[in-house]
Amino acid sequence: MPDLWPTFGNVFDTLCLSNPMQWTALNNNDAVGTNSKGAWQVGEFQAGVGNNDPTTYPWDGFYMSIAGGTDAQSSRYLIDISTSGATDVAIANILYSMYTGNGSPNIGTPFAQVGYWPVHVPAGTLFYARIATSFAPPSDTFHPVQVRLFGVRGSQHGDSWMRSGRIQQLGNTSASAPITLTATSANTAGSWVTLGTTSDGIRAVCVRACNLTSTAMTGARVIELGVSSTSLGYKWFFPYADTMHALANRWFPVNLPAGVSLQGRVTSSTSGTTSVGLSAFGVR
Amino acid sequence: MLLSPIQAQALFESSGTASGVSVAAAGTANTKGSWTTIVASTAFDYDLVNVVGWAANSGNVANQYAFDIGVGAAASEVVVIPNLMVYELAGGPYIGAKSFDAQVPVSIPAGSRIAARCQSTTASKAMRVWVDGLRMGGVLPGGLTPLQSQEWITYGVSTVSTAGTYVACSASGTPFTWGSWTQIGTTTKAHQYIMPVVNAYWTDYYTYPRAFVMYHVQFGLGASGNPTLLEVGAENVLGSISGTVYPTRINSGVGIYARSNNSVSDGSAMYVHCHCA
Repeated sequence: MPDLWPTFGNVFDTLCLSNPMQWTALNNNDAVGTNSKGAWQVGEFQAGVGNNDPTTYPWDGFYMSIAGGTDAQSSRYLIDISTSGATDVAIANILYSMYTGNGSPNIGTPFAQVGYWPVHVPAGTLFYARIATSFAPPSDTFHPVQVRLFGVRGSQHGDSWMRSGRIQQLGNTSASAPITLTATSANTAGSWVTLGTTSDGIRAVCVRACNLTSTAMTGARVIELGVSSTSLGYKWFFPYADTMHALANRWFPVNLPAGVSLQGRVTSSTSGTTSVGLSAFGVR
Repeated sequence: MLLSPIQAQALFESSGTASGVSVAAAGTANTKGSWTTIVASTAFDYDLVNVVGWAANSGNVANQYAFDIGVGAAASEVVVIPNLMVYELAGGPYIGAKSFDAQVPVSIPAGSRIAARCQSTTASKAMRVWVDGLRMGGVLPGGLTPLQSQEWITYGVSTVSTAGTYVACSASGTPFTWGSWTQIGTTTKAHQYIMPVVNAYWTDYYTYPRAFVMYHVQFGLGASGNPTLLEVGAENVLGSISGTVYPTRINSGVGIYARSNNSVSDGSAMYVHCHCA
């Protein structure tokens, strides 16, 4: 399929923006409670300038960088991305956790994560974003996050596997209580937990994981996908290794029709009871 | 669309327990250790592998690893993906710079033994490796043809020091001022894939915090870095940015360069390298 990857002489095919689409203080100041979304905020290529900047060329997808804001409060977030600021929510309830640690100097260290989203974006598109947090505003501080989108034309996931995808959220609408997978002993898979039901046929599944505690996690985890308590065979291995930050997207090629209840379970390398917060998405 | 056949033929198998397989460096620093079996015999042809390497050691010790993925019987291993990097940074718990994670197109026939070996800046240190394989029906992401073994080449990693290439931001104090383009390698053959990797530089988080600092890294061709390949956003990242393979066209003999900036332009740096196939 060489026509899908036009070359420009002796150059790379992939193009990215020289500046990201960004929201440097995405907040839920005007939300009414825990897990309540704030107002839509428009993205800019030069944050704070006040421009409402549209994309300048078509994207096959984008990398989304999420980092904690400067108030350094532990919180979980759900982030919506829209191309209209109203009804057309491109990706709903992207889970991100920021735990600031329980000891100096790690307080105030909002680890960033970068994940890929295979969403085709026409040139001239405006992006909007809004968030909910596990804190109830305005009783606490505002907990802004920094979100940036790096548009990509051509990438590993840019075409035949996933392209022009509509992202379907499979579950989790709560920042304070995301879907939780639990293992009770080392190297033994925990129980299957429903992640969500497909509303349309999907071609790939994305899972995101987060730490549910305010202390560092040790060892490693394996998240497995299944249907009707039977493994699909796909596993996602990730080490915590004394870290506590959220984990970015991992995409699996899973072909599922509409109406399928997708499940997940976790295996831990560590003994005792361990839990992982999770959200899942499909591409249709 | 081309989509359904890919998933319909997709197969998957994985290695090891939930902690992966321990792979030890040699008794001499910056020297590859022995091969360790990760998958004894692959059950089907792999088109793609998910590779994770991580430093399972706790503690406040900086250490760097470079690990190879190889295929073949014991004592006859052939390196298929060389010098994947893992940075284990000092600073106590909660730092996240201990893993490498990527989906890598590589053809591995059914019945193959997959093994790994590593070197470390500290003698005899061990890391852990996880490999899982996918058969994508012979059609890879991007519609490109599957790779043959031995086609991945690493640019910008020094096996003498087990480190990537130091790419410094500007020290001008003016936010987001680019540092100089730094050459990380010259291609030794034509390539169809590139996998850029960025690792944090600072080695002591206690004395060099980078909270709320945003980094960008650009990859480019030629001494002017023009055109730009990629820009990576990396706020506060104490770990590696890796995991994405880009279809590309790079001729043999072309210089690959990188430059970086950050939101405070303090002259700090990232370690940068890339893998090409």
